[in-house]
Amino acid sequence: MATQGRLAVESVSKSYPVREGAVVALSDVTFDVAAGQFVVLIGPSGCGKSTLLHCIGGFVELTDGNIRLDDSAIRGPGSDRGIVFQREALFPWMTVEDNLRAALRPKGITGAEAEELIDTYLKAVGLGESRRLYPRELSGGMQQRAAIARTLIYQPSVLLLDEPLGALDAQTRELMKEWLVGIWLREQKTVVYVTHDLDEAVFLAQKVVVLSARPGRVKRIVDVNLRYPRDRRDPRYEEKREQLWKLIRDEVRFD
Amino acid sequence: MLDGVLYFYPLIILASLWEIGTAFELIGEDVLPRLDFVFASLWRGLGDGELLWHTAVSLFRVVGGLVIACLLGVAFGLWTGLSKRWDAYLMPLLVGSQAFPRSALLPLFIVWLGLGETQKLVVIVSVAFFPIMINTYEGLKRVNESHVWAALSMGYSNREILRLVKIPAILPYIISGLRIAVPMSVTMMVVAEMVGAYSGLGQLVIIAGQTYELAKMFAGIVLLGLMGLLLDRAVEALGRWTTPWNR
Amino acid sequence: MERLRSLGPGLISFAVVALVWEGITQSGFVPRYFLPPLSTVLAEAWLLLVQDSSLYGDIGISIVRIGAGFALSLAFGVVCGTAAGLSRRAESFLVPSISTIAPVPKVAFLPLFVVWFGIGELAKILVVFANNFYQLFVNTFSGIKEIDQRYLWAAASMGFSRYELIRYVVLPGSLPYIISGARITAPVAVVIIVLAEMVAARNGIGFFTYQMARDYRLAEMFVGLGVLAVISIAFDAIVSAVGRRLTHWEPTS
Ligand SMILES: Nc1ncnc2c1ncn2[C@@H]1O[C@H](COP(=O)(O)OP(=O)(O)O)[C@@H](O)[C@H]1O
Ligand SMILES: [Mg+2]
Repeated sequence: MATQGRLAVESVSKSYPVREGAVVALSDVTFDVAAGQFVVLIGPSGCGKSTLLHCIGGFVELTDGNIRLDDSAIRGPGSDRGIVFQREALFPWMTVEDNLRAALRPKGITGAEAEELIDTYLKAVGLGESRRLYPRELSGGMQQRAAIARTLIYQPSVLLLDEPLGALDAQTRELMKEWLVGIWLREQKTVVYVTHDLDEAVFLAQKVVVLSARPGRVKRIVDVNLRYPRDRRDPRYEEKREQLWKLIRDEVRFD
Repeated sequence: MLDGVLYFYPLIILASLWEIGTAFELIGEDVLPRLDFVFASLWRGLGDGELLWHTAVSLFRVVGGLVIACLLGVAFGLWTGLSKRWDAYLMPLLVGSQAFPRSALLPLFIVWLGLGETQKLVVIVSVAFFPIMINTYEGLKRVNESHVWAALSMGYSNREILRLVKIPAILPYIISGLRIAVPMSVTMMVVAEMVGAYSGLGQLVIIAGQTYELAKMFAGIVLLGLMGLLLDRAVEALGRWTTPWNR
Repeated sequence: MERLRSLGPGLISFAVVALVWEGITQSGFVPRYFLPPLSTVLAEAWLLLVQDSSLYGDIGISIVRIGAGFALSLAFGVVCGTAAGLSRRAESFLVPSISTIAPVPKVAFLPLFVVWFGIGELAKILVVFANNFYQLFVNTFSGIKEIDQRYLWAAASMGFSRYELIRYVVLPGSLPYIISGARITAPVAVVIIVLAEMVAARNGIGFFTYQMARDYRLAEMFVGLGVLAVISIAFDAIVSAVGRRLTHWEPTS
């Protein structure tokens, strides 16, 4: 079991200044993530999921509240947290292997040691053959796997994933879900995963944080205590899905 | 091969009309020179070195001006694009200076700098600078924020991120600024050579016009066209070479 | 208020430039034949543009040349571009011929036009035309090629005649491209007229500016520069405003 990567999000609020006043994206959000836990943030589009992930990443400053990682408050970005975006996360001007190499350089890992790690991680994400290609030459699913490899390789204790499967087609998304579970079981890392897809939430999460429509607040925290790999024919799976849909449905409105 | 020839069939028709019209004196030689005379003039001029010399001088001026404009444009683009303060103070001046038709400064440069090579270079830099500068600036504004964040997460410092992320991201913008600058530079060079120079294709063309040597004038025009084409292709190749990830 | 504050630094910069200009020239640090003081330039502008009106003849003739060259290139560019966009045969003739001369800097044709038509108006108008035609041709042509095929199918199934097709689908569809071409070439027309007037003219504001520089009457020359800037800005503004009017359905950026 992982010993590092305990997250505490405490009364976090975030508003963006705009021309007239401010957009309140998050309001008093509180939840915990245990070390090695897989947590999914779910909520309607525009409710502040990405904002919350950016706050945890330390890319934007909080308006109010605190985020702690293993008991020390987060100040700015750091290599203890790795982030993968929905699309175009890789540097397009570097080949896949150079992207991974770039991720190792600040840690001072170069030469044979670096090459060995790159080899290992590219094989783990099934991209051993494509290492000399540019991101643009890869399919969407391959790009996302390469981006995840680039984040895993520098060994952050927390993995932040912002709709990593959002830009993929349905079949690829299915395969990637199963693959993600495998990676997570093997790497034993804390994962905070943003999505608006209910099935992703039930398939992946140990704990689902449901956010309300803007401004995002924690509406409910739902635990999913099902064994991995999860079986969609299990009645409890359908039950959880139903429960989440009921929570979300009131928040998604046409207006 | 045949496709290539067929594609250019209108040129073959136009050239034949030109040659027939002039050879049978349907078109006076004070209007159009015979096409074969143009090529003869081109051949002779390149052979005895006269045209070659003028071409080399012009090419040197344009390339020199473009190189300087590139260095200055990128430097100012980075400066204004990276510093909010300088953006606020410097950018209005730079954009405001574009209100003047770019050609209108030519007389001023002649007064200030005379007719030498410095003036030619400054004239070219004065038109080539802005598109390169503004593209560098725009490129910086459009750097994908998530790339910067990813690099920050890996542990890169802001200074390292300039080299790792921002410079590669703006390269395509610099190249397209350069592509805009090329025809403008060639045009300005031609005029600078027309109004005051002792060499160069612009000077050759205007003297040939004054002495009614139309074949020579057309030879100069052909060479200017080839120069424009060559420079454009060169910048394109530079783009492919510096940004191999863009297809 | 917010907008005013964001303008502040820019205004400060302009003021600094003006003060430095005035300072270095009044103090004699930079000789007057090299750069006249800003106040002298402004006084000269008052003299030339308010007390006396002889400069307006030059301004007028330049505006006529700019307008004529611009209109000519717009008309021919749109007509040839539309022909090439709609007919394969026209395309196969026009595109290779036009793109072959495209890389030639068009001002190089000025001496030829002078040989043909003398130093009169036509030579200068033709240079503007030659310079701007290509951009307008390309924009019209690619505007038509980019029209969504489905619009053409829709029009065909509604039974449009060829005229109706051009009037109601092709022209509106390519109009944004044509207008962007016009916007790109509007300031270029001013640039080219200035060049043409320097090389081959006996009047016009570009000629005036050049002549004053050659006579080392720099205050007058700067007045000419200022007038040219105003003409350029005004012409650009007019073309943009007309363009926005004509494409009222496009979202304004
Ligand atoms: N940089 C920003 N400036 C201003 N408003 C922003 C910014 N980023 C996000 N927002 C606003 O904050 C709200 C939440 O956005 P986001 O976190 O991207 O939502 P989600 O990821 O859940 O779709 C939205 O209303 C969005 O418009
Ligand atoms: Mg989002």
